[in-house]
Amino acid sequence: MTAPAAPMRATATESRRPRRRRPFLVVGTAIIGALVVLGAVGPLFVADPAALVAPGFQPPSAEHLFGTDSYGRDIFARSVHAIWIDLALGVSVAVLAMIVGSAVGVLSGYIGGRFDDVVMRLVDILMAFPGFILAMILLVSIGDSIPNLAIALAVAQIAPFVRLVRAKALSERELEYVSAARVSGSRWYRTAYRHVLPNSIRPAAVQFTLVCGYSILNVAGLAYLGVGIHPPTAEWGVMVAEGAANMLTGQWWTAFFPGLMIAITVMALHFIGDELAGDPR
Amino acid sequence: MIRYLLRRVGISLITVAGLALVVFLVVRILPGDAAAARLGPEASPEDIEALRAKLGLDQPLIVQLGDYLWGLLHGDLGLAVSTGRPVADELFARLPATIELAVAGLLVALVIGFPLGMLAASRRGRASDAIARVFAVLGSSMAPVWLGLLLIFGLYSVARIFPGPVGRLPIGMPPPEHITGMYVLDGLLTGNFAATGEALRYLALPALTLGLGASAAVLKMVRSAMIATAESGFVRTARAYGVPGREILWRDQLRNAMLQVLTAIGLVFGFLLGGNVIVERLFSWPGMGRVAYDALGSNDLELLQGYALIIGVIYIALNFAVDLLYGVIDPRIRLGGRSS
Repeated sequence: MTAPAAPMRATATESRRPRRRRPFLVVGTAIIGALVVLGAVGPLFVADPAALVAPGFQPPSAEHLFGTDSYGRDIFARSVHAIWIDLALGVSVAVLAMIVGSAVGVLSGYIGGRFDDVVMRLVDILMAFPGFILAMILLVSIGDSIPNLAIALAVAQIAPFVRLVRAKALSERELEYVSAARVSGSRWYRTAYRHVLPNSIRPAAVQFTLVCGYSILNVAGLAYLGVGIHPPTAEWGVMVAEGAANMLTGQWWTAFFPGLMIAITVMALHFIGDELAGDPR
Repeated sequence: MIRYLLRRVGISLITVAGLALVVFLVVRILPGDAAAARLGPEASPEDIEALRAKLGLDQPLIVQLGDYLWGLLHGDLGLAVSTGRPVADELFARLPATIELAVAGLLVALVIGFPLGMLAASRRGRASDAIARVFAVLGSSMAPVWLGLLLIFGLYSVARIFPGPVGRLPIGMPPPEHITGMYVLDGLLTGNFAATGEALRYLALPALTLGLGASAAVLKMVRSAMIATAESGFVRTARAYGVPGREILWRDQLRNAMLQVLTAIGLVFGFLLGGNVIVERLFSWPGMGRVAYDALGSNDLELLQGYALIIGVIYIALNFAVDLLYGVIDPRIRLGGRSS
């Protein structure tokens, strides 16, 4: 084991800096924490998401906090059941994209040369699509299912991870600890993954929270177009799509509350990501 | 300048070629039989075979690729299976509606995002900065469908300020004479101001939906670009010489921040062009995104493939234009500075 000593010290110095107050980080983390807890214990206390608990289109009341939809299902109960579906999708898309993107990015930056050129061209091509369109096309080509939805959304988000990690790896590989690892006989792939990668991953962490958010938004967008997650699944995007028509006829709550859940969740993720990124300079 | 130009053209062409290849591969190689998918689960094997032959799917892949690329060079994107018309015709007929909406969305995004970004940067760390940042986060946290629904509910259902989501003009109103296909512009060019007025009213809500979301991105980019220049040496020097803060802000900082801002505008515009499938469906806007939505419903992969390709090419062309403008704005770039 050749533990890289220099960067370890660097992290230690960083943490000794006087701490700024970070209200956005606190708020964002608190919201996500609350959602995770509500998503875990909530389903034990609310109605079944498919149960017809009341006549259709009951406006919000003490009994039905978010009202009921056209079938008479409780929208609050459905929204609570949806928390974990949406969070799990967001996180799994981000995990997939980050693993593949960082693995490719660190190699591209560390190896450099031709390999790097080819990878960067590929990244350019991937980035020539708006992520949403790419995910839509991929999903239709590989077949509409939930695992494929996660894969399609993840592929659409790989490129920024590759770029971020590669950029950091490019500068990392010039540092002494990399030569030290090399001199001590560490093989190139080991150097790349054991030494350069851990020191190049931080920008990707910020992207991770943002991608969680984008994915939840994209799931909702795809659901509105009729692909990805389908009714009657209790998922926020599906619920917004189902309630869309009611907006014109006055039953605003059917789409409003699920959409609000999306907005709050994604906002919290953005708060966390923005604070982790630090103020731009 | 010539070398810079050639290099940029070369990179763009390579990317377009790669794009065509990727679109082709995504649709043909990925698991799932295009013919079977199109005919649905009840199709007989003979029908599937017949359609495969008709689409050329029984040919070796390399032959298919050759046919596809050869067609592309002639502007042939194949036949849309769901309508029987050429894909290129289906999409280009709808392009003006999409561009009109995207331009309007970009204007909304700039009018809101630009001043707020400047404000946030010049009052960094103060309350107005925090408010602008919260606005930016909010704008990028709302699902576009949801934002559109809220606007429809508030400004149409309740307040009756703007018309409902029924397309580009009141039902029954003839469009202005076709020149560009953009109704606002055509109305002006032909002196049909009534049509322009109505077209603007019908454009308002979809443009707001697209623009509000995009304004968040513009705000963030303007803010961080301005802050980056605020910390640079030339601003410090100007300050030391006693140049008034306002003058530094508008003359020195803004000009130097324009590079990043321009990138942002290019990205946002591309996003507006491509990311409008949802908004076009919501507002019954007959643009390319609407075609893509219909293609999605009828499993028309040819049409979707054409859509993806056109969006990608527009995106690349925009980036190319932005790169050229860099050279115009910043002489260091066109005069041989290394560009990565």
